[in-house]
Amino acid sequence: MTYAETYLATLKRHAERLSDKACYVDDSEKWTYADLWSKVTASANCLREAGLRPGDHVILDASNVKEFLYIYPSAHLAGATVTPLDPNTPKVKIEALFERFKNAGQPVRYIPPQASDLPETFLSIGAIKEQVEQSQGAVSDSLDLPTPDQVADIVFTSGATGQPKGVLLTHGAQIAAVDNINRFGGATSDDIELVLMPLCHSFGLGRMRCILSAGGTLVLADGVARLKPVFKAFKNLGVTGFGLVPSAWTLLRRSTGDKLAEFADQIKYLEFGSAYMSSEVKSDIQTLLPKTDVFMHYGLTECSRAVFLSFKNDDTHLDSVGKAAPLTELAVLDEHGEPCPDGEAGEICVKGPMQMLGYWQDDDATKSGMHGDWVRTGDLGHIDEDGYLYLKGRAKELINVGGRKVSPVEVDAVVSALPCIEECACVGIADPDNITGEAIVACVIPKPGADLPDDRELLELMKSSLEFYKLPKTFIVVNDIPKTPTGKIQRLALADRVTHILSEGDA
Amino acid sequence: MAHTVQDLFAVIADTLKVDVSEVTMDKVIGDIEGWDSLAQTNLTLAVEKAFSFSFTVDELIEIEGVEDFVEIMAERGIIEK
Repeated sequence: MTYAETYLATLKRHAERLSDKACYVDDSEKWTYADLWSKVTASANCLREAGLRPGDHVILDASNVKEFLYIYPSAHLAGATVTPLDPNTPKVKIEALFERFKNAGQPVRYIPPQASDLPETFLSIGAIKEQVEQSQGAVSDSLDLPTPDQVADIVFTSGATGQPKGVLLTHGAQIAAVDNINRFGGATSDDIELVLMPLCHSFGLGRMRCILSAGGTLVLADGVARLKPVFKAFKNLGVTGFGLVPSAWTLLRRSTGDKLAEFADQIKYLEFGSAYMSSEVKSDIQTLLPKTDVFMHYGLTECSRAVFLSFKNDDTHLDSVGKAAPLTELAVLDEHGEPCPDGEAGEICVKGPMQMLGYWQDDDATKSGMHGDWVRTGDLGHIDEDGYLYLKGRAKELINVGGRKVSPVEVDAVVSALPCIEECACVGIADPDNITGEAIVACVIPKPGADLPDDRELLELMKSSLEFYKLPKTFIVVNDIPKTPTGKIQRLALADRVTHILSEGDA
Repeated sequence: MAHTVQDLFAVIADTLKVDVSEVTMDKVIGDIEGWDSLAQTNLTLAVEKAFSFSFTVDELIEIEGVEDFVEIMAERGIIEK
């Protein structure tokens, strides 16, 4: 099913119908929807004039800066597909991404925050900003809008085998996801939303599309490390909604206690997603913000926001992840793709107009990631008689660090490549600090006779190869790594052993 | 007797797992690799523990970098500038 709408068409319509309405505000600046569309078209023209061609692929630094709000859609308007890039991605990984595109015969253009010496560097965000500011109001709006069935983004996610997989999402799928979320709860044209989750991830990017598609006003911040802009936004800009991953909530609550309750009357909605949250924490949030529509989604990049749970309306099922979202179908299937008997556990599968086309340049992964037209989540669970979905564990071996999925195989490879390490296997255990959900523990066998440096030195050696959140929290020296007869690492058995070692304190 | 700014820098360096020479007054969240929201929470807890006091919520909201730690703690007489 293809949605007959796109995010870009929505923005263009808002520029005509809501031309004077604020779409973005900060301490010193306000953009209307007319301003935003003017910047989108100016930026698209700038990209075209610099040599971008329809069908090119753009790797765009997705820092939480206001310029992203127009450069991202402008790349689509110029006819490109986009990968929003985590600004903390190590250089070696960016270069590896370039190689993958070049090997596939796909022209690729890198848009860094500032001038960069990396190959494939196109214009920087700073340069585009300068040109857009100079050309304000002087550009024609002649470029064709992309159609709903065209690919908009290739979003890379950790695959269980280590190599990131490129999820192909069409313009129609992305706006279907917006419709799905806004139908359930949240943004309207009267709302002012604080987007503080990273725009390089599906959750933050999705929130951006939700509030702007609704015709509301967006306020931007960069996570919860700096709390001053967050509370200033609530106090001075009248924020009425926001989205958070559970670990960000834990940090916010731990640092600021009941402070958020001072804004309980103005906060209309709060969306959570991307990681596990206990019933106790869910109840605590709803108690702190009794008037707020607090809800949580369960889903994956391949099929965004498939299941929703309202903390208020579903308060007797807070231990579930909720019910199928408005436009989504939900099923529990066995290994052959056949429905499991009612109430029995199996693999959770989802489908809807927001789902991916498949994985970029990887037919095998697309085939193994689907059961017919159902997207396999890799999670195990069951649906009760009232339609609530309960998670039972993961079929895939990914580690969820504060909402970011990490392939243990990828970390294994980096640790094993260190000169002092013979072999490594990483596992996810419950975060001992109770913040990120799971934490990565690297079980290592040192090379015979090698001096093993301390954890800090080991991490220093790995920093250029891995994003910060993928670095192990702890290293444990082990004598052996449990494996199946075919040599596959038995991570569940290893995780049990690690949990035991850490609880005994004899690591 | 009050502690010194260097004592504070040592705690910051230790918590952020960097050499103390990297800790300077102009550094703010994000300037040192790994100084993210989690590290910031750990850092405020570590500073509170090392100097036996508690920040108020409003102080925690104000802290965005090394200089903020110094200013707030000097103001409260916990360290000498």
